[in-house]
Amino acid sequence: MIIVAITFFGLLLVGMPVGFVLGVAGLVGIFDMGGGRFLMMVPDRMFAGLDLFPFLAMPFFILAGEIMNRSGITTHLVQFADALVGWLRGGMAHSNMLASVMFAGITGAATADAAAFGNTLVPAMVRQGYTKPFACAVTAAGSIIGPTIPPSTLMVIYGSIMGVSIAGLFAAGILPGLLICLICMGVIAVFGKRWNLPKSDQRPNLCFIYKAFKKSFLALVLPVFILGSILGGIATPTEAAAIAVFYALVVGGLVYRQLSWGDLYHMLVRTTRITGIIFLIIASASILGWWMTFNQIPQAIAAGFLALSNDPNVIIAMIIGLLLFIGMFMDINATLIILAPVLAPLTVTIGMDPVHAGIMIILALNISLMTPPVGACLFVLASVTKTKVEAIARALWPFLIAETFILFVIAYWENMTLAIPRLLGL
Amino acid sequence: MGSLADKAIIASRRVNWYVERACVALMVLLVLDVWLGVLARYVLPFQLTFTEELARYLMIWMALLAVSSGISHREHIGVLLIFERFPPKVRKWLAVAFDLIAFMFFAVIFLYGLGMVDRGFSRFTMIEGIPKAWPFMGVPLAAFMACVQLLLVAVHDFMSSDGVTAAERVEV
Repeated sequence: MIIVAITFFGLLLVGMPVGFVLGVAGLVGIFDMGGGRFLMMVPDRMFAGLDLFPFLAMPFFILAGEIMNRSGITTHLVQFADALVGWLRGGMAHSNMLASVMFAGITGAATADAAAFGNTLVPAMVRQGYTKPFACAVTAAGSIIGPTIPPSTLMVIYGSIMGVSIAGLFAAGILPGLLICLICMGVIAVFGKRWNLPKSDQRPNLCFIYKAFKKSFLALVLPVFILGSILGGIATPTEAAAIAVFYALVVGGLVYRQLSWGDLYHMLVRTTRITGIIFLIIASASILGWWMTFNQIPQAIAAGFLALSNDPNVIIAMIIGLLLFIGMFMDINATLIILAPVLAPLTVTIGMDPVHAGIMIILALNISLMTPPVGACLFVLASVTKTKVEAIARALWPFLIAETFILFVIAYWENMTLAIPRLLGL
Repeated sequence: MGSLADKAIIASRRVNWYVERACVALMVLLVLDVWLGVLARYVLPFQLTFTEELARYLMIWMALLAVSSGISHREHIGVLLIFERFPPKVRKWLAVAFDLIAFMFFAVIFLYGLGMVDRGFSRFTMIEGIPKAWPFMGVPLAAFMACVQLLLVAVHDFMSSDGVTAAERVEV
């Protein structure tokens, strides 16, 4: 067991790609168990780890997001958000948050949000007088709304490997996502004067709002359609994702007329490459996961937690602490695949609803997307906007505290998460 | 750029050119297959049973083949906090060590994957009853392509005289 831990942490810390580290550590563990006897299990585990129908939703949501983004839809969403809240102090920061909520319904990945807004909104905010690190911090804080509000690739992975209703997770993610948006807008409003955030001359104008709404209507319909069909039991997440691709193609190609065949090819290449990166992590993690299960490591970790305390509140706090800590150093997909089978049974032991526990775990990992040293959104924004990670991290802390507060609220207040799934009978 | 490094990156990009197109073709087939499944469920007056099974296997083939494409462009993510603090020479050696370790990992997958394919001829899929060897074949094939790309990018990055890595060398 020690040799696997050394292999895993040693290779991970010196910078070997996560997908390879997981596979190599699993391979070492399996070899350590019985020499070459068990190695025939390795490709079997790889295949079985990917052979799940719900995983299909992932490449489709990635592709739909790519198409919508390339269609210039981000600009329309930002204009609509700006029409709604741009007149407040720190208007563009508020618009950034609101646009993140709208964009969240199209894409399921925080890095997509960070890259899209890093390219468009951050330069616009800097032109209006915001500092670059602050503009990046607002974008990073808003980007984690993407994988919290459905569709979310993390929810697809969690639901698939843990056998939890993906529709239930999607429904449960809506309120936490909106809460994150609200609290971040609250932070901007409260500190706006102290930070001397710019105030726009524009006034709220119904005609302007209506015009912006009309332009972004087709983009706003997509999340309603995706969620409506899944939550209404009309389509499975995979089917809804496939239809979302069709819709995005029609809107991007025929309505906005922004797509060429060349663009489509590049988007397909991009989608397959992102899928390959994520799926290697999943496949490799299932090799390591098999070794862990065989050696009853999840049970040992759960027993270790319960030995420290029997109090459900303390255990929830420990789970959140562990996820935030591990998420600081590791890719969130890998963390989810490795830790979910360990932590989910523990949450059942303390009486948590599986959907509630899933949302808590996913939200904790989402927050770790913006914590240094390995916050993926920080790195995307740093590279897109040519800003130092340290500078963004310094501007980010009020948002980080606010979002961690929301995480604890959600963890300890079950009804907040489960209100919508219960309302929909999921 | 040294001539061996030059040849390695050209070969890597050439192999990737084919792999990328294969992945895109599989992705297009996947999209069409799932659309057909949706149509059959809601619109067409008959049922199609093969779409779900085919979709899963197309997805696995596409995603696994795309692993080598990510290697060609060094897009597989890692924790670079400590790595980036090492001097360039150490980084160069470390990167080669990573490639060699990953090569061994994929070589094991390839060798044992062939055995899995062989056993797959006597195992059949649940819905259509086709030999599982066909979907299984994606695993050793992808592992082989990953080995090829790891070798090529390792040679390029190690031999490259201008210090530019495969990840940064977009135009070849």
